Amino acid sequence: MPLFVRLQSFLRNMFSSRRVDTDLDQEVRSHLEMLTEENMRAGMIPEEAQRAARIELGGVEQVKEQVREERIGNWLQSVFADCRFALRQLRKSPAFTAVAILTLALGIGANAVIFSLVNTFLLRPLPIFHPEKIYAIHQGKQNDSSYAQSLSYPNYRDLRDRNQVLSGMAVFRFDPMSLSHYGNNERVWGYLVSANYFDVLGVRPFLGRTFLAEEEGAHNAHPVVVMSYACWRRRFGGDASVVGKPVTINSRTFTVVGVAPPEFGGTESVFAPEFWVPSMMQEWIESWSGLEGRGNGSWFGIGRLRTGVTPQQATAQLDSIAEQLGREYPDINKGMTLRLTPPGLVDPNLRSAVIAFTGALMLTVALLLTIACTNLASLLLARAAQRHKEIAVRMAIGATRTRLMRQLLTESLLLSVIGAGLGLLLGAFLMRLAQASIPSTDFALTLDLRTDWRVVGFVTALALLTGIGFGLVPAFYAGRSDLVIALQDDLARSRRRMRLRSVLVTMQVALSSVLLIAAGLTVRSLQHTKDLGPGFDPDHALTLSVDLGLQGYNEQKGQVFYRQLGERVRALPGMQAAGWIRSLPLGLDDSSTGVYPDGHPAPRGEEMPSAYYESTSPGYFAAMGIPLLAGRDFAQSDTTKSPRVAIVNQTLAQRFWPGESPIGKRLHSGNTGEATLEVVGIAKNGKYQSLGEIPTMAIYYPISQLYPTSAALVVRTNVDAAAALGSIRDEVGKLDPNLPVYEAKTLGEHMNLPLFPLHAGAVAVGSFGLLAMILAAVGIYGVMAYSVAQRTQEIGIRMALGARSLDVWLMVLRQGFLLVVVGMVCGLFASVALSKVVASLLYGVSATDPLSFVLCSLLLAAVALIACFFPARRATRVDPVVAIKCL
Amino acid sequence: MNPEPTTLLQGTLDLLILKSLVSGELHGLGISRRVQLITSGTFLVKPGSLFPALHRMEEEGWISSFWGDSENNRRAKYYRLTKTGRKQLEEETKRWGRISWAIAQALGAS
Repeated sequence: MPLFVRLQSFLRNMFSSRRVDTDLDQEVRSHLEMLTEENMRAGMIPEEAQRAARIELGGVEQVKEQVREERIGNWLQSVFADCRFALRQLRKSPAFTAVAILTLALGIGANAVIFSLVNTFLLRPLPIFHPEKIYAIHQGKQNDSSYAQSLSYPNYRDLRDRNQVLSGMAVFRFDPMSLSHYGNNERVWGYLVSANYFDVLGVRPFLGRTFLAEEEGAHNAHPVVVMSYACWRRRFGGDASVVGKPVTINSRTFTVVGVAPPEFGGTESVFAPEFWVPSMMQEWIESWSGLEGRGNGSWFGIGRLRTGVTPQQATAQLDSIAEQLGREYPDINKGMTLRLTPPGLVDPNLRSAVIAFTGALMLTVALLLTIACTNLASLLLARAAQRHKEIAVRMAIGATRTRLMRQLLTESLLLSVIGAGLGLLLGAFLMRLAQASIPSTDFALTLDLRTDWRVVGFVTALALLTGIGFGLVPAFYAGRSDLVIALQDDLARSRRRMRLRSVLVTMQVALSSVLLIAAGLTVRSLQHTKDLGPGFDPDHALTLSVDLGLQGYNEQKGQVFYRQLGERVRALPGMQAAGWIRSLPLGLDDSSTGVYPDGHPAPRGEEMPSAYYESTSPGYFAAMGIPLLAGRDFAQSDTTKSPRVAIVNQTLAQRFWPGESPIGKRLHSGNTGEATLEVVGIAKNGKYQSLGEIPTMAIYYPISQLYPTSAALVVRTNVDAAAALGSIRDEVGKLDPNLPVYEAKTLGEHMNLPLFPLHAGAVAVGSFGLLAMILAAVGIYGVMAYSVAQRTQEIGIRMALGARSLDVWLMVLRQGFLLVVVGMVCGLFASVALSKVVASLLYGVSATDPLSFVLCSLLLAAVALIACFFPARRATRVDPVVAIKCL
Repeated sequence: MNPEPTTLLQGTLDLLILKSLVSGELHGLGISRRVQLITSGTFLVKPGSLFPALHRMEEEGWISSFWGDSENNRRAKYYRLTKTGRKQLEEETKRWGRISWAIAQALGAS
């Protein structure tokens, strides 16, 4: 019953607040009148009676406010009122509001982006049944805690069958597959998995079934696949009848048995597989099978802990099984241990690296946000000092101290919530940008930076924290009965605080100048890299790759294919040159071999000179635009039966035969066995593994003498890239209609990969630099505005004594610029000091590049000037009469 | 008149207001005067505490209010006890009895 009465009161207070209020007003007024009458009856004259009544009542508005504070629902209603009022206040000073919201949006947006990274890599659980019970299982070494290796299949079987701590254990392996579908051939990525994989993870199929126990039986007996939901939608148009239909992978027929649920993409956070194939089909997928070799450690293990078993208990038992295995197969398993780690990042050691890296980033953005909050606090303080009259009036008409503090906190919370909302949007936008800028690689890389409830929760918490954080100090000050007196009372303390704030702002200016200069250097370096060049001409050339090994080609058939496709492409209109290479330079493949000149004893171990090596076909150098400085290109006459030949680059030639022509010289190399090679040509130097590398020795073999199972064709042409790629694809189709073509793109697009670190670095450093600059500007503005507000009377007196507005301008600007100049000088010194570290990362730009230094400093100075401008203008508009009256 | 009356204990004000309304409905000033009377001038209830308490008690459902005419034909808001209010008064009285007994014991003991 009382609950019902209370609810009724609550509703009345909420929805007929006006009537409740007039009612109260009448009641208090009638009370006052009755008091007056009482006093008159007691013999007072009317004026005196009224005065005494008022004194006893203590103020109509105050009594009403006290009643309001007692009301049910008052809290909620006052929050609404506070919000309405705060919005009105913020609308009244749009510049302040915009600056505050922008600062917060940037600070919180940066935090949201970095937190999303953490969320993707470390926090977001797998979309499977009880993900917290799943652990990645790697093989370790007794005396090396950081060692991690994948398992061999026989060891996996023994671990799986002998333990009592896991309710299930599965293994998987990443594999490229060539998919032929509706006349299209593509190289796609998938998993080979033990048949219990889906059961261990607790993943139920979206359509059809997952793998059966018998599919773990005989080798190559069950050609079945489960496809990913994304693959099913994209390649099969979401056709439900796909289950039971055949699909051609590596020219063999598999049967689709199921489709995985939409949210499931395996256990690794950066890999998006399209197909799952039972491990027993390894030979069909990889052209060989290492399933029975105990030494073939190539399978990644995952296990599900039994209920009530801790990871430590599980590791202990698995280790004892490992010890048994060490006794049974000492050659292979001696000293083996097992490591259980949270899944998702392939290598357990990668996890600690990711934690360290994202941790450092989190700290950086947290620091930026703290700076932003400090700046906003001084802005709000300046604002509170300007608003002291309003606050005094509100206290005079009955607002209590807590009520005022709450009002000011509402204002700052409102700012931080709006800022956080914008920050979240900004973050989502930046993440989409980041995802789009990841260069395409052959590997099925994915970066799922979703804004899920964890990110939203984190940002909400940040918003509340920052809102209270930067609002508390001004709110506390506002609670003082008279703000101006309060501020003057502890002038010494506030001077000290002012100095602290000035130091902080100076540091911000220094930091942003360092970051801006670093960004400037990176951008300049990017320009230079493009001029410097990789040693080949990336314009007017395109490339595509084929994997003949997956398609079951032997060497003889493959050599014929390479030769025929080269001839056919060269015959197409507009094609100037075409040639093959095993793997394009500046790609992800990194191959080197030992080489030494003939006539010297073979150097041992560390002494062996190492060179980048490749196999190329005739026409490759012309297609890439790499000049041959002497000798000849490979020719069709170089065959397996003719003498072994090689082409070397300038660096190798100079090192082995300084001052001599290398043509006709002979050398040995690590990957061509006993045979000596005769140098037939010398190629211009280039970059092979990264754009920043020092000149590296390189050796090229003819593909006819060192056969690669997959290779990239490079074609130089003036024809439009899309059209040219189309006609080359047609030629591939004529030779082998089932052969997938992958990584078809222009050489310019290929360059995105080696340039990516530089691009990403420029964007990251540049945005941190801009962010720091904006924050520093807000900081300067806040400090100057506060200082002007504090010095209002002083400025008024100066003006009354004859200071012109120009003098006031100069006075304020001088103070502001002192901060900026000191900060910038510190920043420049720091940049020069840091330049030694940075130098190794820059290509072709001096780390003290004057252009970067001058431009960045000018930019910073201009922004700082703008930040000082507004407080200075306010100072000149001080009315001496009003300012002195306030004394 | 007692110049600075004793500070009211938390909850005592509610008890006194409830008690003052037992004999019939009263307006705000009436309640104030009646409390003064029945406590022999010990407690002077100021409007600043009286009205918040009245409104809170009304929201709790202990008292109800209506507009009526005062003895001088002035419109005034009157309060009267509800059934819940009477029950509350009984409980508060018992509680107060216990407290004052305990306090008296404590003070007498030492």
